[in-house]
Amino acid sequence: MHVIALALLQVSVPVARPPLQPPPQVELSAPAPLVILARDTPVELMAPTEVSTDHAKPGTRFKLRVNKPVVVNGRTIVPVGTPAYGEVVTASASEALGVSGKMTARLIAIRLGEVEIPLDGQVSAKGTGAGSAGMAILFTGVAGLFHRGNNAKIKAGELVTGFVAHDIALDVSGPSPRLAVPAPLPVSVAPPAPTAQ
Amino acid sequence: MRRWLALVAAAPLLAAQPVPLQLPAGTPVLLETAQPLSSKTAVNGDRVELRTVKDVLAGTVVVIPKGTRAVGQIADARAKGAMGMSGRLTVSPLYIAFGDRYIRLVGAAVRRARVSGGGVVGLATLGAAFTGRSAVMPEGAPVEATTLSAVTIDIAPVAAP
Repeated sequence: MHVIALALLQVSVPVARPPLQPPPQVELSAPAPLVILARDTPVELMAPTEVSTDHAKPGTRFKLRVNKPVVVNGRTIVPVGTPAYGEVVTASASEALGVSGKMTARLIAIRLGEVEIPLDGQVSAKGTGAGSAGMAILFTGVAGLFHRGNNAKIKAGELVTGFVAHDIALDVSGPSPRLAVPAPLPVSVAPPAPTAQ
Repeated sequence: MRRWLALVAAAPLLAAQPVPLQLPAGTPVLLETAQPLSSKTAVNGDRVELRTVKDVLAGTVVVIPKGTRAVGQIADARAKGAMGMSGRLTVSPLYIAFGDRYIRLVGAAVRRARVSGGGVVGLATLGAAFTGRSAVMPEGAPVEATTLSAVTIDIAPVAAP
């Protein structure tokens, strides 16, 4: 009985506890609106100036511009007029005997403010020449053999289709889209594994 | 008994759940043009409306139904020229628009204008002044394509008939 009474006394004795601290204030801001531009999204581009094998060499970069807006969930992400660029991969100039020029180029990226959206896509062009060479030989005889074929061209105003090369997350909360920084993964602290004694 | 009834009731719902289906790279897709084309008016880069002619299956499940819209592009358009040079038209399929996904395609359909017997006579008599004919692709012209890369699509499966 005494033991029980002592035990009750021990339980009822108030324990000195530190005063309750208010929980730290956590700034809860709304997550930045993210838009995922999915891989293989088509992008219609236009060549504003002519690219010709007359002056283009492998490695020459050329300008393009977005011709149709890229819309995701009803929101325009890439507006018309956004600059883009491509690069000439192979280029062979036209030659005598009506040999026409050939060119292949690849699309590289769209420059959306400070963000580069990588593109996938190719353009190939071949100059016409056989007909004009035939005409030249017909009317000028042997001199027509020196008639050069036509250069391969991506004409000014020509439409080119590229595709977004991989998924890209854009933070569209600001005036111009930025690359979304992925949130740090939550670190789970596991209890230390018992060590063998 | 109740458990059994609940399972039976839930069966159609479970069946309608979207499942991920993979369409491997190189899957053949037969398309047709949805508009008439001519080398007289077509320009390199022009968009071409296409549609699927047959269901595209993954196993026995329809992934892309017949009549789905696809987009192509004029890859090469050559107008007819002097000396009986015929027109040429090449259409390259680009992609199938499938909900909010895009399935990229590769392939080409080439059409050259034929030189008729009259054309040969015209070329022989009129010589260089004689022009060839324009290449024409009527609506419904076949365009063979294949998928460029493997695509996984979440769809509610519809068994092929």
